[in-house]
Amino acid sequence: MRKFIAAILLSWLGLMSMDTDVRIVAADNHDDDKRDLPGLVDKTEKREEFVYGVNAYNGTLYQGVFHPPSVDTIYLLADTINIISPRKTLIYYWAVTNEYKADFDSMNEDIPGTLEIKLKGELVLTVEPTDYVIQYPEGITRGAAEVYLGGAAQRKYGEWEEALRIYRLDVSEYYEASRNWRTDLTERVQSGKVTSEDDVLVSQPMRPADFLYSSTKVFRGVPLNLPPGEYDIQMRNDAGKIVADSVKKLVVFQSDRVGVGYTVIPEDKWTTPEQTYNPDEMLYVRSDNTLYLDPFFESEYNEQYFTHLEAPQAPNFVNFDWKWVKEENFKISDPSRWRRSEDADVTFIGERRPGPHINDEGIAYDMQVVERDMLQNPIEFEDYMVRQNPGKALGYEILEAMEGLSQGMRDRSPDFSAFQIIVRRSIQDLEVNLQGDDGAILSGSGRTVDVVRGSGSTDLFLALILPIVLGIVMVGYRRYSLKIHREKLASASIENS
Amino acid sequence: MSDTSTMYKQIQTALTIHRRDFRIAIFGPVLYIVTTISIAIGIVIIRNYLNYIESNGLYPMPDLFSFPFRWVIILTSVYLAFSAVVAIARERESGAMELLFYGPVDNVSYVLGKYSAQLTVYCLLIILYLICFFILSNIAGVQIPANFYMMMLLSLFTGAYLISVGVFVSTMSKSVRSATLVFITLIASTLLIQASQAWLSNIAPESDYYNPVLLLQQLLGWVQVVLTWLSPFSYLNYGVNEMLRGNMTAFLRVIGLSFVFCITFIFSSIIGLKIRGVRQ
Repeated sequence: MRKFIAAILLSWLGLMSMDTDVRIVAADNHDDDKRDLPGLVDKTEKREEFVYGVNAYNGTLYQGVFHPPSVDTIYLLADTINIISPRKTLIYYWAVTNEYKADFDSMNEDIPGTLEIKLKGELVLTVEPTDYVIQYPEGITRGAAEVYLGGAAQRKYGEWEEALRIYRLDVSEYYEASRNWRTDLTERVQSGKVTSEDDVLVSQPMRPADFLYSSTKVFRGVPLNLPPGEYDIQMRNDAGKIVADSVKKLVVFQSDRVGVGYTVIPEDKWTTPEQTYNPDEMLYVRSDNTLYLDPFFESEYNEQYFTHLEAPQAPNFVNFDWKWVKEENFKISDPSRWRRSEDADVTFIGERRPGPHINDEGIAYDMQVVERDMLQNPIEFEDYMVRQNPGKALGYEILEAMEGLSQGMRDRSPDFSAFQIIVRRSIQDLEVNLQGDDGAILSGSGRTVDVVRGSGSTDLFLALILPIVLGIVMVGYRRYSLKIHREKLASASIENS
Repeated sequence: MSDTSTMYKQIQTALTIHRRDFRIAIFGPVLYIVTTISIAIGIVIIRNYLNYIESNGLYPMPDLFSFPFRWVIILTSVYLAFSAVVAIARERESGAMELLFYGPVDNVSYVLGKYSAQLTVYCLLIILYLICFFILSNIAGVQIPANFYMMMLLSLFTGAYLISVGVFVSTMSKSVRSATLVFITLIASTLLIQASQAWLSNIAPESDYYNPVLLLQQLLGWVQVVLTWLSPFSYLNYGVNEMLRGNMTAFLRVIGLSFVFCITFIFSSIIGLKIRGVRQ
């Protein structure tokens, strides 16, 4: 037993001393880094390696990453098109971020051949590289991504180039028209022909809308759309041999749960909102408070898988945690309330928050509120504007967009859109859900708003009275009964004697 | 003597040992000191949450009482397991165990009696904590969600598992000193490894410390994997987290595994006591 204890203690001492050494080494390294940093770029050694370039869909957009030979597993989302591009490139170790970097500008060779995918040792799929292009017709992060393969890729890229050319022409024409308009205006002002502000505004040229349509170039890669599973992949070249470093594991995963998260904005701290991801989570709030709940669609993934999908060289620790990933936004149910600046009835100038939306399907959602089992009036999704208080003192107020407009806040879009919940002192707890105009509750959108009492810091310690009193009673009873028992024994012995 | 009568006699003896140890535990002051300290720690955590809510306006989380309750229950179960360690090792060291074994006591009734006494105390303490958290809930105006009761159910099994580890360590130890050392080392190692692993895994790759501690990170990561399957603390955390995610299959699996490990350690204690003997 003593040997066992000694072994454990020695291991701990060893670990502790390792930790001490580590700190010393780390301190030394720090100094070295500072000394060597200016020349670090020149010192990097580049070497030719086979890598997989991957355009991995992360639920909202395609993320371009590469997998050097040191990474043995590729992670991809299931049931979506992902592109794997076998390449030969120059890689180098970048000590600043402790990872390999690829120099695709110096070398970016396609590797001809076929990608073989195995499931449990059996070949299930063989795919050849093809042309592909990834486009965002509504703009990156604003709309859904579209992937075109083969001939369609070339055609779509051509369409994008044509759209870009037209946009450039429009911009050129706009600048030309603006110059002419300014010259004309100056002449008219000098000759006294401008009589009102409308004379100026009506003839002003319109700036073309921003060019949001986005596209990659046409690249070659292997499109994969696989069901969840753990696969093995390898690249077989035209000579029929397996390309060195091309054998890797491929983990294809899907979301474990989907739900509706909320960005919760407290009225007095609108710049520091909190996020609530877990469906049925509690929102502990102070009474006499106003909250703004801005919903978004979300999916929950295995944290380790998702982290490595976005950053293949991230440390490979054992991690059983889950991660919610924010996806689609929520937009106002009545689109007529939002009008672009080209329309005659201008409400706001600017853009609404971009991106796909939960209610793109045409279903309008209101927030259903239940207080003490009583259904309250539903809350509508509204636009809000924040106005900074005038003067040097810090502060602001949140106004409904219409109220903001009536107070002269015209030249900008709303600061945020949300469901407003007013937490009065009399309210105990609230159950909130998103309810569609078809009457159905949006799954995973429920939250409980628990109004916490502002108790004094010492009040809580009253709960300690219970174990203390119980202890006193039990120990006291024991001592008392022992005392009685001893007295009885003493009197019995006296009687006997 | 038939098997039935032997078993009946063992149960009777175990009940006698159970009653005696139970009385010692509940009439002693230490239990209430530990209970008070545990609840005080829980209250401090809850107070911090409430202060944050007061200043920030809101705090979204699955259950405000979950984290403080886990601390309360971990402290209590460690104390009860430790008291089982000391009680058995002390009786062996003082020769009382040998004396008992000259009578009707055997290794089965002894281990079961000792274990059930601590487990009964633990169950009663969970009820006491439930009342305390009800009081706290009323004072703070925080509702106790249904998953809090599920967490209590789980803590019953993980606590029972930890106590069985304590009984096992003491039955295998020669003296109070060695039993105490082994048990404290086990508990401290488990908690330290879990804490160190969590801390080290948060070091960003850009940090100066990243490369030097990489090996240690990996090492602790693998130890953590083993602990995830063995440690009652890991079971409690994992079970609660999965239950809060709504994954009741994982929750029931944790309960099942805790129960299996608990039975395994009690059985090992019985066999261990037989092999190890009752003399010092």
